[in-house]
Amino acid sequence: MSDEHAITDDTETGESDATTDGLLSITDLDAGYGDLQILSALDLAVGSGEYVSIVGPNGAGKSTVMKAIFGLATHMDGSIAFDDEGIGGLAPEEVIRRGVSYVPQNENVFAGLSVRENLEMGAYILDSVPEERLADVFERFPILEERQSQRAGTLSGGQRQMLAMGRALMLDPDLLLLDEPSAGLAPDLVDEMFDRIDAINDAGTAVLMVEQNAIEALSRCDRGYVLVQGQNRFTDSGAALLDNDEVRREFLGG
Amino acid sequence: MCTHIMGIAETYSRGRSVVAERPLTLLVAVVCVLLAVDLVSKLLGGSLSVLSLAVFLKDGLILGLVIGLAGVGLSMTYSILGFPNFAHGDYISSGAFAGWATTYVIAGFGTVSVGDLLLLGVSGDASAGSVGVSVVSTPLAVVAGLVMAVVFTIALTLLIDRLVYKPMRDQEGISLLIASVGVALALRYLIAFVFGTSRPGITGGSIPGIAVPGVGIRINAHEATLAICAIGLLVGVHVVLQYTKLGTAMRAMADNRDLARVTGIPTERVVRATWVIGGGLTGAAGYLITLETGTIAFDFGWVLLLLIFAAVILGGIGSVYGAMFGGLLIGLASTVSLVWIPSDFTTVAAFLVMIFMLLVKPSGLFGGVTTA
Repeated sequence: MSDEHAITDDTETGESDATTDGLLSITDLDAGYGDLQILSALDLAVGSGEYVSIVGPNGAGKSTVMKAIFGLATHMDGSIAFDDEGIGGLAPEEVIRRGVSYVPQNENVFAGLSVRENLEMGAYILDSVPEERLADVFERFPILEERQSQRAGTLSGGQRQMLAMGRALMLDPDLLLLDEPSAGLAPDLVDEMFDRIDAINDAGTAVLMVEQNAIEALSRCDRGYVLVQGQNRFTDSGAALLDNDEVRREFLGG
Repeated sequence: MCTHIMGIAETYSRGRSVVAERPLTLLVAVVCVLLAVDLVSKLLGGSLSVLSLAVFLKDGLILGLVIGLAGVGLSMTYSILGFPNFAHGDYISSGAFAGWATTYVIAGFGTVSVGDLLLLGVSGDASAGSVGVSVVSTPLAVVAGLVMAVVFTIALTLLIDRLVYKPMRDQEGISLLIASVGVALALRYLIAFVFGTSRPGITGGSIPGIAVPGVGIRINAHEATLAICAIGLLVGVHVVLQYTKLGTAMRAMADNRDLARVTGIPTERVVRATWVIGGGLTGAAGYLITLETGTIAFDFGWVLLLLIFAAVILGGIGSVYGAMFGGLLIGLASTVSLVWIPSDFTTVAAFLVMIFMLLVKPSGLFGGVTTA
């Protein structure tokens, strides 16, 4: 019993050394689904207001990182801390309450609900709908205000992505998790989407983004991670990763 | 000129492709038209009186409201929990027995022993005649019974969810379905064990009614009570679903359960609320059906469940509005069909309507329109 305590204490000390002023710090994380392990010994950090991208080949476990943060993957070992508080294994609503919002990749709006109802659901944990947040989201995405009584299922792909982001912004999160925000968008909309993410980050919200479109993601972010087979291969500023010959050759197609 | 001809040719070929691709739609349409023509000619020829058609319609609407009311609970739990609850029919019976035992104890207190009253005249002295329950003679006992039916069924559904369904929440729908069949059997024979397998009369005394001017049909107090309660409850469900935060969360969860979780909707709380609303409606339906038919039996909910499933599937399983509408359609089909076929076969008519509707629109009338 006392031995166990000693071990836990050790790990915790180690953690706080590594994560001095990180908003989110993932240390030595093993995670997966059921018995299947996807991530192994993963370290990842996002500072306050920072914009971090995760890129890497298909099946590298990029989305699993997000699911692990949100308590949707099986937490096997290691720690996930947000604001110096462990959040590994918490229920999604508890993670949200602490200031993290998540926009999943596919089917990320409630198709049968109106646009406005979708946004209201984003603030479910509050007693009443925060009108000033709603106004803020409408200012950011005017199309959503125009279509607020329309069913979300009738929106275009780009509009759905805006609605999903708007819903995630309803609680004014400190950290926004975006899973493949450009997936399925027409090429001319991709740039617009990344501009909108820049604007969200400029307003002070830290962003952790998983992206297939690696060049775009790395050129926009402050820092990037290249994930391969559930492990961290490279970590550096986005620009440095784009300049790195090995990264270019192996993951950016030249 | 040329474009005009092409237009006609196009319309013709489109019409032909509809006939070729959807021959069943055409068949259903033809059958409907033939039946309508036959109905009118029967009315004009005098072989069917306006009065009896009016009676069929009234009975059909009453049955339809009951099926709709009971179906809403089934559809709601299906859309949010992802399995068809086969124990639903026995929730109906359970609510009815709990409610009517309460009504009997209150109505007959002092004249018949409480033990006999609780058993609803299965044994002992509490017979329908001696207790004489009706909306008019013992209104308080009826209201208390209705409330008890609602409360008891809610408690029962929550208990069964806790014991059986909650531990299986992440399992496939088929496992939950089989578990629900087990729950259904257990409940049914528990009721049979306590109340026996006879079909005692329940209501007694004369039940006043009012005549509808013009057509000459009479609506009695129990039918009116059922209709008013059912319509009131269905409107209530609509209001909750469309205008409250809980209702929106229920629709969101029916839409996409995983997304609801990551949005921060406390899904277990929503599930519980769904059982409360669904269970309450089911208990009310059980009590009101017994009030209207005047008899009760341990398996009446199970028998009714077939029609309820027909209604819910017809309306599009998972859609609450589909269940309401499907209920009315099935109710009307099983009574209006008496115009053509003997009463032993009216259930067949209800199912034929369901089958034909599904041939035309396989996802049900409201299918694809997720409304919780």
